[in-house]
Amino acid sequence: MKIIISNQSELPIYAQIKEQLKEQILNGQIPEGSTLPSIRQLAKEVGVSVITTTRAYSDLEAEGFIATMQGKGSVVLSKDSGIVRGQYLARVEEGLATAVSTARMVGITDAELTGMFEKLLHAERK
Amino acid sequence: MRALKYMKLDFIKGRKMDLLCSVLALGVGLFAGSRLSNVYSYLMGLIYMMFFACVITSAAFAECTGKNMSVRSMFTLLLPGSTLQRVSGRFLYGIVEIGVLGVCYTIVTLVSGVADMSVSQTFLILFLAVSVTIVLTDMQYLLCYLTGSGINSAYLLNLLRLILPMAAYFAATSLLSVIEEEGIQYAWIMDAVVWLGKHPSVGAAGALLIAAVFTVIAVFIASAVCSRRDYA
Amino acid sequence: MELLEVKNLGKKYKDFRLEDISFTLPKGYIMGYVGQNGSGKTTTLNLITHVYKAAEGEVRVDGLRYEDDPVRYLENIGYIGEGFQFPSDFTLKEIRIVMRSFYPDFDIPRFNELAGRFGLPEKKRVSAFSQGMSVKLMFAAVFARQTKLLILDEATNGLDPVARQEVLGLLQEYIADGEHSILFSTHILRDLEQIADYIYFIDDGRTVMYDAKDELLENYLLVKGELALLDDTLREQLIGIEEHAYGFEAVAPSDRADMLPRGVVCEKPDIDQIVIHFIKNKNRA
Repeated sequence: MKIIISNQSELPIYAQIKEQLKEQILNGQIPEGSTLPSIRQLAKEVGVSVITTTRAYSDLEAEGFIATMQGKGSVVLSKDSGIVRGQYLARVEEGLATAVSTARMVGITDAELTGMFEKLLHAERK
Repeated sequence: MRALKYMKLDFIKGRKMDLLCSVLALGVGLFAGSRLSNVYSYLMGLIYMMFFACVITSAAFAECTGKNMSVRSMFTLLLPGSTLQRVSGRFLYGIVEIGVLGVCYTIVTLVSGVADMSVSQTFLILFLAVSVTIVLTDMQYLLCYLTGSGINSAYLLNLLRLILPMAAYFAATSLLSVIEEEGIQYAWIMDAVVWLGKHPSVGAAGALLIAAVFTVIAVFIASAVCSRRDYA
Repeated sequence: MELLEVKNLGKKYKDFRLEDISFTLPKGYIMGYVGQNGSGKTTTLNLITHVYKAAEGEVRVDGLRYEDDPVRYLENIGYIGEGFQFPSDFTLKEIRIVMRSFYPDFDIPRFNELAGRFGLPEKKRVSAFSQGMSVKLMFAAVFARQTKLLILDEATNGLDPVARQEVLGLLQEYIADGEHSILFSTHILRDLEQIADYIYFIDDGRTVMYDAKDELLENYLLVKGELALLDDTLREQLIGIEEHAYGFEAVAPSDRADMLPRGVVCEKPDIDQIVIHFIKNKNRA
């Protein structure tokens, strides 16, 4: 797990932490079922205030990525949970949308695009 | 009791100064006392000793001089204890110091047989002298507490703290020389002295009692003053 | 429960008045107490530690007032600042004796461990310590005790950057279990920027602002622009306008960002800047 805070960024620090954790959960870098460091632990390690990490975690919890249990810490939820699935779907859609707009921009036809897509699906299956 | 912790702190703080000055005081006292082998010189030595004791024990207030040094007293103030305990500890330090010095002086003079008096007489005088010095120190301490943060010049403050002991010293020595030369003029005083000589334990106990009462009153007054003052 | 509760704290001096200071600090958090020199920071802290007496208002540490139980009250507090200096001819030996005498829970092995880590000399007198060493000694003595509230009065000023980082780490460790809190007065705001949860500004003996640090940093913007843009409507929006030959700088609430004219530059402020402009705003009024 890695968190890198930038003071120059537009995003407030709690948002940076939230986004980075979210990214790593979605990537699988932080596996589901694993326990995240406690709010205080994280605050100490990263060198930010406790309120900051508290906010990042509560946002992640609201978005369905983690669940915090009193005394047990915060656990990364399974990707199957409804809200998380929604986030994944959104990502897939985003990826597809990017592919479509890029293709259109350079003049790749829908037929060529569909072909590329099928090839990829085929390759992944193997 | 917690007051004892503060007393112990004062002893640790003063350890080097105290030892040096106490030995010095004893030396001076003994020297002054041994010039002539009689009661008067013994008393003279004792007066010197007690004067020194009073000044030495005032050194405990060294940190309470003026505004800038008040910050140094924060260390003691932050230690867990009530104002009364803190002040009591300080007074106990003074009393114990005086008591110890007095006893040392007495033992040394008794052992060396410098002055030619009976044991009970010697102890009576010891208790009387210690009691008087305790009362004096009580007043001195009260003065220190009262002027602690009022005056900013450390120089001026140290001067102020010498006034009482010096006044007492001069009063005592002049009294002594008057008595030495002309004897005791007032019959009632002579009677009292004789009576004391016959009942030394009563005299000693009485003196200590008076000193104790004085001390308790002084502690309460000082404590009341400190609980209203910053850095006190 | 709130670890530290300050209600309407105040005191009148000859030429200074601390007035109506109120705040609370919950367990497990750090509050930065910020203000210029002479603003009342030290006065407030000294009133809390009861070095200054006869205050108006009320202070409770862990639910206790000084008057209720002075011994426990003071045992709960660890103080590090200019005033916490050991008697000058003490060496580590005497410090151990005195601390153990007054604090039965004083952990001598832990003190020795910290003293070793900080490189504090065993035989040297405290008066011969450098500024940095003195500060580290204070930290060692306080961290070897069991305290609930740590009060720091400009405690990191004398430290070199490496030592300061080390101490900041220790501070975060201190609050890590959620049971302890820190009240940290400093004018080196950079230290607070990272680790503080709450910020309290004081100026001229009165509260200027008191909020969660994250809120502050999010709710305000640093606004810069050319002098020509400073008309009355703009002046209304801005806080603590600082004008110089080539432009102006001020702070504004973030939610008013779209009401600002084009041509101004908006940036994320740091605490320093918010403090400065707020104080300037107060002084103008």
